[in-house]
Amino acid sequence: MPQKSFRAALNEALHQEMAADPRVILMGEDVTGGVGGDGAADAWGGAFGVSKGLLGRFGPGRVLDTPITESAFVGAAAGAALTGLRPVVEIMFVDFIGVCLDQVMNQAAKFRYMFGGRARTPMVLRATFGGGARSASQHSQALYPLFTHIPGLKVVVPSSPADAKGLLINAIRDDDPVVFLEHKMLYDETGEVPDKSYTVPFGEARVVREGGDATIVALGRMVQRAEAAAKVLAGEGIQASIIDPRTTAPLDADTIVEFAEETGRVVVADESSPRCGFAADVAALIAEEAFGALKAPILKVTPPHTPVPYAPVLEEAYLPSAERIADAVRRVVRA
Amino acid sequence: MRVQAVTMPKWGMTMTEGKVGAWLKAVGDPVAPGDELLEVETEKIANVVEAQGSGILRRILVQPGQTAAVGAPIALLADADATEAELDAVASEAAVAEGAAGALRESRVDARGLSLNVVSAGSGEGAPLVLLHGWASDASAWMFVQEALAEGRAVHALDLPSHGASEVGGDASIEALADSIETALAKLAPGRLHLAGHSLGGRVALRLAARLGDRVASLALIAPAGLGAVNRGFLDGFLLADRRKPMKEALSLLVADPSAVSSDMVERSLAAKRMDGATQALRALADDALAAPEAGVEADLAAAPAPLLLWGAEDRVIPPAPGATMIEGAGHMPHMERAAEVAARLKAHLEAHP
Repeated sequence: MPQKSFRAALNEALHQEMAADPRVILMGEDVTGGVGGDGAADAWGGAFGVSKGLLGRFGPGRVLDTPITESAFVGAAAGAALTGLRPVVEIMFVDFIGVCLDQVMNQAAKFRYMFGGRARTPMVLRATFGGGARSASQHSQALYPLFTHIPGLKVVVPSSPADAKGLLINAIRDDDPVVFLEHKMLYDETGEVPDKSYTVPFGEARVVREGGDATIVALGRMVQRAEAAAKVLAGEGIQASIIDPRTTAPLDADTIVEFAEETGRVVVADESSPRCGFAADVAALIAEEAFGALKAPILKVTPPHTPVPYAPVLEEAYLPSAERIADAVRRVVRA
Repeated sequence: MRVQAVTMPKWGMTMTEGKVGAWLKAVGDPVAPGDELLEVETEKIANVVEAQGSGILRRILVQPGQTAAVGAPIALLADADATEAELDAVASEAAVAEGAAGALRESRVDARGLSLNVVSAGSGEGAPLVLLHGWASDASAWMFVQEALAEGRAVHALDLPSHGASEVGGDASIEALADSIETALAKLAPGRLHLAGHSLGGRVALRLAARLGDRVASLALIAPAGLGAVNRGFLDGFLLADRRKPMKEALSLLVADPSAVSSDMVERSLAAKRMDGATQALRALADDALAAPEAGVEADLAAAPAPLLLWGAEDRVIPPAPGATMIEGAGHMPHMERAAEVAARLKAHLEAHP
């Protein structure tokens, strides 16, 4: 099976869905990659290279370069979705949601409910997230808990190239607003990705690894780090399962609870802030549904409750590392 | 052969190395074909390597916990009186051959407008062997036997239309599948060839063998459709399964030992169903090709060379037909569950019909 990067997998998903459905359009800052910059259309395929080639193939009528006004173009996307288009709208860094949250939280997320089920909002809001790129605190947050908290939104956080493609295709075909968050440190990761078009459904966790001693629940870039931790632990005789929920809304509670019950020992690795975060949500779920099976306290491995630091040493210390995940697993196993 | 190297197998396109789990035989133990020799783990699967030859396990070259590249020698089987010098010679020869062995290559072949994926191993003067997998499976189903059969010949495992990495499409009848594969064979194996098929692929192989007449050097059928009623419960279970648990249940009907259903198999089966159009294509095959596969079987059997007929003794998908050679301890997938025994029987059949 062909090896592709996370970036190429997303690009292929956009190409295939735009070719398959003329209602799919793309909009965002610099998605035409270079127009108005150095003068060459699609010179770099968008800020992170994900929309490369789309302008040339589908034209400026479907690949819309927007002004730097998220409040306007995210609102426009929500409206376009109501009228029957299937917009994929990109905000370069999820941190910029600050200026357009009303369009997402109070408009797109509410249309179906407030119009008595007679409105559909098939909009995908793509954005990069996460630390590690030395982008400082206004360009590095992991804000999926913010969106997960809002009923009416679906929230996707892919961890592998194959999942990125299938989840994005599923997002574009979904009739509800979907927030699709891409960790900027994963774009160059490669993996097996089928050439054909396919979907990965929402609300179904991926069992990344099976081991009977402990369960690590991890999301996005933390899956990679959990895998690195599991390898080290295997050398010590500790076999850990890794569950990647892939979507935080809907959440595959069944699989998380099933593995929590099987192993009785759980670590949640999460890059979002610890207060009211994803790890806290999963820990609460397990405490409610699988308390009787637990043999140790649930441990969360998260950043501290601070802004993401800019200084490289501090940023690395801030992000949950494979070592910290492995250490938490050792602690629950020995508890 | 006085000394024979046991090499790290290649289970699928992406396997580059394997880790030795545990040795199930000790140095000095006598070994017969089909004996379980050792456990090997990859990133995706763990399985037992069975002995292909017989002799004494004289040397273990890779210890538990260590990894070896695909094709690398991991142990030596030899006669009791083979000298240490003979062992050394074979060990170093095998190490040199390592790079060449274990290469699986992927290519595309056109079949009446559908692009089909082909996984090939080996080369040589021998008539090529073409492997056709079963319904909802793909070429990787042959991964435990393909290499062993590739001595002196090319072995091509096709992904059937709408399966694996082949394009989705085409009509869902046995006749249409045979048409597609026959077109592909014009490029892939234009002269004499051996055919082997499993389940749905077995019925297609039989149909092709009847059509191709003298071009077919030999035919091997593993639990073929058409010689027994297909368990509709399995087909429906697979078609309806949209989550891990029901898929695991559906797949457990395929094997004698349900613990052999790994989470990787479950994920791969779900992923295969989620290719655009794949589930509809599988349903169409279930309702057409697999609805009455026995139609025309008598005539095809009369026109085709006498097949080697293998069947898992515990097959719960298609009950074993009278006259089949039974593979004990295997369900519907003996070429996965009892790979070494199936490989040895297939190999003997190929060699008996050059």
